[in-house]
Amino acid sequence: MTGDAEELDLKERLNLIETMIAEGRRTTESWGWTFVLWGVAYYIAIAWATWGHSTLAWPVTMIAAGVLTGILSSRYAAKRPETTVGRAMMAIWLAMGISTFVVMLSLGMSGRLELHNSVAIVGAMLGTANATSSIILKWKMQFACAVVWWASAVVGCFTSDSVTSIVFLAAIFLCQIVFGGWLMIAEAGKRRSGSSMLTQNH
Amino acid sequence: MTTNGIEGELKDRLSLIESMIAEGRRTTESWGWIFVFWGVAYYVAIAWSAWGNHRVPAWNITMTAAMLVTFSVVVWRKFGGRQESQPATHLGRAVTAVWMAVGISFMVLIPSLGMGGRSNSNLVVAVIGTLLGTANAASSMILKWKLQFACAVVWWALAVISCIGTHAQSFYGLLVANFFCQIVFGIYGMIAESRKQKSARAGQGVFHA
Repeated sequence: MTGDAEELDLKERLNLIETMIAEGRRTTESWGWTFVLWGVAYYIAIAWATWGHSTLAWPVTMIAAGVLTGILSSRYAAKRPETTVGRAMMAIWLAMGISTFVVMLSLGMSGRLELHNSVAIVGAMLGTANATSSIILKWKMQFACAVVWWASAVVGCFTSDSVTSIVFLAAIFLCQIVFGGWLMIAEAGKRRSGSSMLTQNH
Repeated sequence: MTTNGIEGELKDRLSLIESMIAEGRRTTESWGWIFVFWGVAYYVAIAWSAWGNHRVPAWNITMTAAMLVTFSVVVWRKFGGRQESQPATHLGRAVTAVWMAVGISFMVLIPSLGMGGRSNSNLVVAVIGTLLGTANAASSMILKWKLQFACAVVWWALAVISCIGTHAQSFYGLLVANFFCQIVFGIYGMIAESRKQKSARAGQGVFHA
């Protein structure tokens, strides 16, 4: 292969990678509603467990949120073709979801679940998933979310009940509600600009 | 575009994805030694903390040493010594990202639990099982690799046993899971890689002849 051809091949590969990263970001943006949905589900579970004093609060809310996510995402996924980066993202979030569900349910059933350990484990798991996604998509904003989750995991190990609770609520607000809402706004903006371009072309 | 054109493009895309998955598996196999190395490091830490001087933080020292060795080899492989025969694929990058994020979570969570006085051996083993289950499951789903998914299931089972079982059950569970999912899986990866290297060399030999 000549030098020019090699350079062209490299440029093509770089273009492909850049396209895939952009595609991956768009895919994540289009899943912004799941961040918001799970953020709201966490708040419902926390409120129910705190004021309803029910041991069923967390398992029932999490299973309901999981079923709702499954139904809505299967409808949504049927409309869009699967991409390589999209598959990788799905694998990461699915693995994190299964792991968190397995460990939290086991801890709950054995009576070993308590606030500090729960916040530490959930913070570490959400930190892992957000960090993986942000490294793949080269997305600083999502990496900041990972750092917030990791920080909440550390805080959960060292501080009192009230501080741990406040930090966890703040992390949910920033990394689920605000980040998810931002993704939804970004997607809506792109959709609007896409449809206005289509109208202009017509 | 004609039907034949679309079919051809689809075939090209499928073969590209298949080649990326195969390349991702080859990359994982080429890191098989890391599974074995960490498996041995876990055994060293377990033995040291069980039978050694209890005043020495066996887990902290062993894990820090293992991390430094891993980091040095990764840097050497990337910038100095052995160059990868193929540039990194997107799936390879995704798998690397998974292991990096899990590694950071380990470094953040395990020392914090210990220093915050929240850790007990069952909880630490449950966290190890959960994090390694996540990494193996994500990697296996990306690479469509059933054997690695089996490793994830073993790690998840260990996490469950540690949550609901006794201290002894959690301890023996860790020894068994470490043996199968680090040592055996890592050796399998190393053997698979050396076989592929041998067959590639044989292919080159035939080509040169």
